Amino acid sequence: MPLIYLYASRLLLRAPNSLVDGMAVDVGLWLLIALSLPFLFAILAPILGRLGPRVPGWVGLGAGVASFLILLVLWGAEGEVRVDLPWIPSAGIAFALRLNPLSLLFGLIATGMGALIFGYSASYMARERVAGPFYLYMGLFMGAMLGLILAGDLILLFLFWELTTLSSFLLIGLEKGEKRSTDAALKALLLTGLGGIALLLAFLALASVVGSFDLELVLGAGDQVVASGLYVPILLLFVVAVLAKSAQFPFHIWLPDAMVAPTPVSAYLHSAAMVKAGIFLLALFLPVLVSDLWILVLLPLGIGTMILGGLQAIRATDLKRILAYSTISQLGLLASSFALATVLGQGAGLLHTLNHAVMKGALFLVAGAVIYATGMNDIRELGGLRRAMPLTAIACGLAALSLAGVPPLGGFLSKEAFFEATWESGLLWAPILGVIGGGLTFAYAWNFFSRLFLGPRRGGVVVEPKALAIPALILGALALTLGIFPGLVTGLISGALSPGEVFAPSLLQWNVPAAIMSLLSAFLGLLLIWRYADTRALLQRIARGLRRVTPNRAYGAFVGGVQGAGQRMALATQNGSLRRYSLVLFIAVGAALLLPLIPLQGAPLLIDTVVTLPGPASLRTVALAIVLVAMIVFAVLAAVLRTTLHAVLSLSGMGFLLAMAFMLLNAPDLAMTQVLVELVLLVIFLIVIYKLPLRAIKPSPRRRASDLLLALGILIGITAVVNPSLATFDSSVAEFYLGPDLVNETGGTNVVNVIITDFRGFDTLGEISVIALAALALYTLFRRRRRG
Amino acid sequence: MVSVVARVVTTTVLYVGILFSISLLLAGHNSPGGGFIAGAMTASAFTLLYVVFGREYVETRFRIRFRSISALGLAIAVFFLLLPLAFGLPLLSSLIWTIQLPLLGEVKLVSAVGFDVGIYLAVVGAILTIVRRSAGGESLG
Amino acid sequence: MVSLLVLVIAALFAIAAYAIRHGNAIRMVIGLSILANAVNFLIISVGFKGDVAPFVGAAGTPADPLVQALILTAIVIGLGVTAFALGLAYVLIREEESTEVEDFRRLKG
Repeated sequence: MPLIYLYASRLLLRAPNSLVDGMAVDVGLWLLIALSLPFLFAILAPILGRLGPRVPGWVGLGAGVASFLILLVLWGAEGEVRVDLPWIPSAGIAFALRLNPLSLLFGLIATGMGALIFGYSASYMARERVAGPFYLYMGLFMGAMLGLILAGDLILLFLFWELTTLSSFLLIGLEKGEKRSTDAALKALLLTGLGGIALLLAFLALASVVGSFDLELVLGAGDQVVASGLYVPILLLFVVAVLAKSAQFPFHIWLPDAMVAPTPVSAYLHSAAMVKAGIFLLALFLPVLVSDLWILVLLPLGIGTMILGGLQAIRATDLKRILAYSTISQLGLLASSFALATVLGQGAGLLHTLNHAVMKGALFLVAGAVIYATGMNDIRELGGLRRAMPLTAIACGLAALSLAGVPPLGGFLSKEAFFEATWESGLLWAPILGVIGGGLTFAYAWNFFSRLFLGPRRGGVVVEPKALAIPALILGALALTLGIFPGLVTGLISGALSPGEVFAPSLLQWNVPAAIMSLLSAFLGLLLIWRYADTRALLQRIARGLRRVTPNRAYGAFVGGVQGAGQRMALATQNGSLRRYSLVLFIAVGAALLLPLIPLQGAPLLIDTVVTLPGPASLRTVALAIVLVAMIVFAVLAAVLRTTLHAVLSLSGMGFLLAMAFMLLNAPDLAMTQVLVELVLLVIFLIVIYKLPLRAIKPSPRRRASDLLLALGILIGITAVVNPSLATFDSSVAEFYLGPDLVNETGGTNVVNVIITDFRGFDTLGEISVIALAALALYTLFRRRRRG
Repeated sequence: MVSVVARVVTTTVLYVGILFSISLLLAGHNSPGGGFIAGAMTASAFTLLYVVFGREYVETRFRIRFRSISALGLAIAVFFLLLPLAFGLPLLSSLIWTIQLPLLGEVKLVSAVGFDVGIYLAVVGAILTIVRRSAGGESLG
Repeated sequence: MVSLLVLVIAALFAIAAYAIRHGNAIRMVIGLSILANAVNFLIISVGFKGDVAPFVGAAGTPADPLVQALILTAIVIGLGVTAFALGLAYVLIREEESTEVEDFRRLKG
């Protein structure tokens, strides 16, 4: 995000116009502002929370409304808007945004629903402990969703796509201590994350075929993509991404579990916005990827999911789970609409996306209000709430009837268009299965409303939370408006179709096959309503019979398998024996060092080369030889002496002799440092062994022989490796530093210090960080000990 | 019971050591020395203090949070690493200013010396945190 | 002087390995410290040519400055790492009431 503000500030300053090639500066800036507002809100949310429990909700509402209005006004005033900012030009990746009919439609859903949900959350979350992170993640999600919709570059789209996955994960797992919550979050992350990987691969393959990450170029290269050898893998990866994100069989299992999140999250991410990302992708890439294979793969999965979700929704008894399965089913309908790849199908899909966001959002808000008011969430224990919660009842009735597809509500129009599209497809099974799916929807939608609000009163005395009912009521009214005045949005939807195509359903124009299909599905629905309890019991028996072959089972087996394998591997490799670790380490390092020596034909080995010290055998050479021999003696003593104190003193002696060796090898800086460091190390060692109870080191005779053998092997191995490298060492790198320009460029004559502070400054920074960290680690180590 | 001689010698060593390490630090660019050596020098002088006077004495006399010094050093190093950016130069470029001072004449200031000061503080802070912790220093660290 | 430097380096590595293989925790830390010194000495030996310290304008063939810069930082880091290992060993010895690493129950999952 800082990137956006950087660019925004440059735009404001009217700095180099080349940044925004060929477009009016102000217009692009507005699009950036619309995208930034949710992120800005997310950053500020934790601070706003201190001002009062409801403040972040209201500010979020403001941010959502502002983004919504900016998009709308921008579209009205300018039409299509593009922003092209260089981002990673070397890789051909741009920060590109596109405002067009398709992105406007989805963008309005994302910001409008978001605004409403924030208004709802102000009351709903006011008494929740997790409200702080809730608003942060919700704002993050809103921005990510908007970015995903507006993105004009494959990589940018992918990044926002992953950001929505991440924020969904964080929101599902809000209750960190609860296993149900964390398990559900993990499931959602693994499954949608799998989709994310598939999407990235699909995008990379697409870009390799088209030769660009630019979305417009990719979208215009349909023939090229379908004809290429990569088409089938691209399509399959793409379908996996869509299925996982939009909760389609067999990846749908994460969505019902995700209902552990607070109701606003379910209403926004898991019905209105995030799960629509897959649908958005279908709508966006339809022109590129469509072929016979597209229909063959997507249509059965979509319609199958629609029916499966409908059956599960009837079986479920938890309010939010009913709605979750209903969402899965409706997403199946949406996927099928786009799978048909006809103008009517696309139009139906886009209109139903909007309708579904409105009605399912309303139903979730109703469910939230009921749970909030009664504290109960089992539909069998609730009933007759119409007098206690009249506003909620009206909202629920409108939304449920829209979902059931009853005229004159919005859902009726899009469902009719869908039926007509399946009829047109010429496949016999598509309309039949479509009717069955519609019947199931009719049944559970009516049951949801009638069971909660009609009939005899069940559940305790309740007071209607008005602040929760009003947003639901707004959505309910919107469902009605969309049914009566579809012209409000069909113009926009037609704009998102192929040029010249028009999609204009109306209550007044009836298509005969679709009307018959509607009647049939309503009849089926009524039949199911009549024997609802029996149907549920039957479905539960079937589910019990099938419990060994569900996708959930496969998921559980996979996760359990990975964890088991990880545990076995940890037990096998990390058995707690330090001696075994060190043996493995020595052997591995030895093999890594010695292996490269084998194929070197005629390479100088052990005896071949003679390394001599510089110059004639001077006094310095002799001194060096003596120092080195003494150093070895001290090292041996440090390794074998029985008394800890003696061993430590020998180690110190070795260090001081090394300092002398440094001196004799023309390294005064090193010698000085070595002496000082050795002094400090000696003191630390002495302090520690003084404080330890055991002063003598026990001999371990059993192991002596094998350890000695290992040491001997290392002696020979290191000699074999080091000897040729010392002889053939090329010092041309060093000469660079000794060149005459050094002083002029760096202003120093001590070459060693110049290298440390200048040429290798970054390394040095890393190195001082390491020592600071070591100190901090030691600090914590001892502090923890004192407390414990 | 610290003998007077040890006390005098150590105190002298400490101040001379610190003075010497500062001269090492500042001279490091042109003659033996630099941040690492100077840091080791100061740290070993302090360590000597611990050995001769004991923990309590040092901790009452020098109420310094050494790990903060280490962090300060890192911050200074990062600052001088980034400083050339402000002048439109690549990271870590040497900035060299030549200024005229009264009495001293021409003095060359090199930004790498600032980086060296960061190294110095980081090393001193880290080593002394380690020493104090090993010695079981309680309140500070 | 047939490969005296090489033999010294190899000997230091071997001694370090022997000390690390010893089951005593303090001895292992000593071994680590010897190993750090061995590596430093290996690096300086690579650039041991020259007969004066590396300064610009020095008379004679200067020694390789790059290896010296590498080691200078490595020495200080070696101190930090050794001290940390020693701290760990100290805490473990105290808590496990043994100096032998094979007795450390906490390491065994």
